[in-house]
Amino acid sequence: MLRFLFLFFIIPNLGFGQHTVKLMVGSAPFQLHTNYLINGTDSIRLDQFKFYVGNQHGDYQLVDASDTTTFNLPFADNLLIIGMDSLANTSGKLEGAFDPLLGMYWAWNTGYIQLKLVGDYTTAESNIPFEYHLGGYRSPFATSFALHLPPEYDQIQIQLEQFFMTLPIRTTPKIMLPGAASQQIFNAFHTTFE
Amino acid sequence: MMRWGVLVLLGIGLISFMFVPGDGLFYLPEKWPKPLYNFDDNPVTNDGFILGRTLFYDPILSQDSTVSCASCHFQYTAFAHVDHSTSHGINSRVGKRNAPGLMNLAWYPTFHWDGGVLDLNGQAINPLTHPDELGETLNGVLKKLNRNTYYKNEFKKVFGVEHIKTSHLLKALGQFTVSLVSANSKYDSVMRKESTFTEQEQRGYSLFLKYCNQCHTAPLFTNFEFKANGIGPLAAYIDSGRAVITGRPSDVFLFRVPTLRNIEHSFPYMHDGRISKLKDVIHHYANSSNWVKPISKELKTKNNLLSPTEEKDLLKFLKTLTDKEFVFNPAFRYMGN
Repeated sequence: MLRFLFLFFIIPNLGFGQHTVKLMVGSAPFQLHTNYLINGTDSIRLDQFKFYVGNQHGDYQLVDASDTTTFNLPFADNLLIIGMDSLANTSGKLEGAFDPLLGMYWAWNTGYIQLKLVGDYTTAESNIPFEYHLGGYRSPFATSFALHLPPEYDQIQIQLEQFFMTLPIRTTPKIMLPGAASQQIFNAFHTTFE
Repeated sequence: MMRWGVLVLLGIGLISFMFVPGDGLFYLPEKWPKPLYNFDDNPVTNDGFILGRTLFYDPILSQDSTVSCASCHFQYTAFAHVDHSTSHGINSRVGKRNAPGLMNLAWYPTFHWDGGVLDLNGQAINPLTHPDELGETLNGVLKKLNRNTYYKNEFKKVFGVEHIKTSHLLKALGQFTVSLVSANSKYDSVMRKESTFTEQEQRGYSLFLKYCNQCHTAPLFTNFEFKANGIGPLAAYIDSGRAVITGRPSDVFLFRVPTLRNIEHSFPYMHDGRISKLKDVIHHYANSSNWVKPISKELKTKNNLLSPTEEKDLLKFLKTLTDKEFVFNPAFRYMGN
């Protein structure tokens, strides 16, 4: 019985037309705990990198850079939501991808962290730890965006090199709530999708 | 003689039957609006209610097993924190806001003084994980529950699961807290025409309808909106209230209108528990000279809005909102495992 259940979980991931997420820095695959040179002098290292991807039917997956199995999305829709829309934010599901145990739930301000970036930024003078818990679904600071994937595509390639340079780490190394600052980084994240 | 004895016994039997309090499970009072809680997602069962109640009273939920939900939400104070302006948790750490009474939560569109929380089930994560309250992690509490034979069995009985997950814990607590319905005060019996107000209560009721009902709207005695009541921020710390959630400057110092049900029991008052006596709360609203801006438009800016007699009349009316059956219902008490 258990073996059959196992198959049920495996099959959708191997099925046709399933999307996969690919994280890139320049021509190399992105890796956590790795220093990337920025502007020739600074470097950035990410220890946590997670974000939500969903579809219009309210199915979501938390893509977590520390677990490559999460790069295979369990749905094949061509219209995807990067982050989480307001409906899903307030669904009260609290199960599966919505389980607060995943560390993406804002309990005091019901909703989900849609993009989490935690790491270190090193300049010639100093080392700046940074922590970005980004999200929000209330107007005017909603962060999620729709991604239309051409039918022939099944890979979502995310190019992080430019994005790393736009992070406001020197001025605002911590953002932990919805608002304009959160939205700004999320907008920059939008441009990473190729 | 025998026959009379039997009749008396029968009578006592009938009376005691009539006064047996309900099983405590959620019910919809007559003529009340439709509840907002998603009962389809989490139907209340007797076993689920009892499991939720056991968890509510169990310090296993706190990081060092010293504090339970009931530590700040006593039944006798309509599940508010008696005599504590702001509530404290593990290691005697003190929070910033007054623990509100828990009742009629099925009708709440939002929770917390700032309305940041949108669903009752998810609300419990806040006190569970807040360092000033139970200070535990979700992971920690689930590990403890999954090691506990009693809880393993009970969760299996209620949700049919071998492994207790976040949603099961929160739904169990939700089944208990959503069942805390208070709708049987003297006010309610007067509305049902089963009893009558005294003259003083009636005068107080008229004043209530004239000055209070717009925000503290019956039958829930709150319209769930966010208002500024002129109390102003404390010197010790600034709590911007609703603006913490919305980020809107116009929401600074706005807090949710609390229910007036069981208000006699749920002292101290205001979002930070600053006022300990109900008569002083009435006096605050009837005298604008001490108010600090912002002030919501529903409040009448006037000194001596009420005469001393009228203040007393209003107080008498507010006491008719006390629901003894709710406050003393044994079904809401700790029963042991």
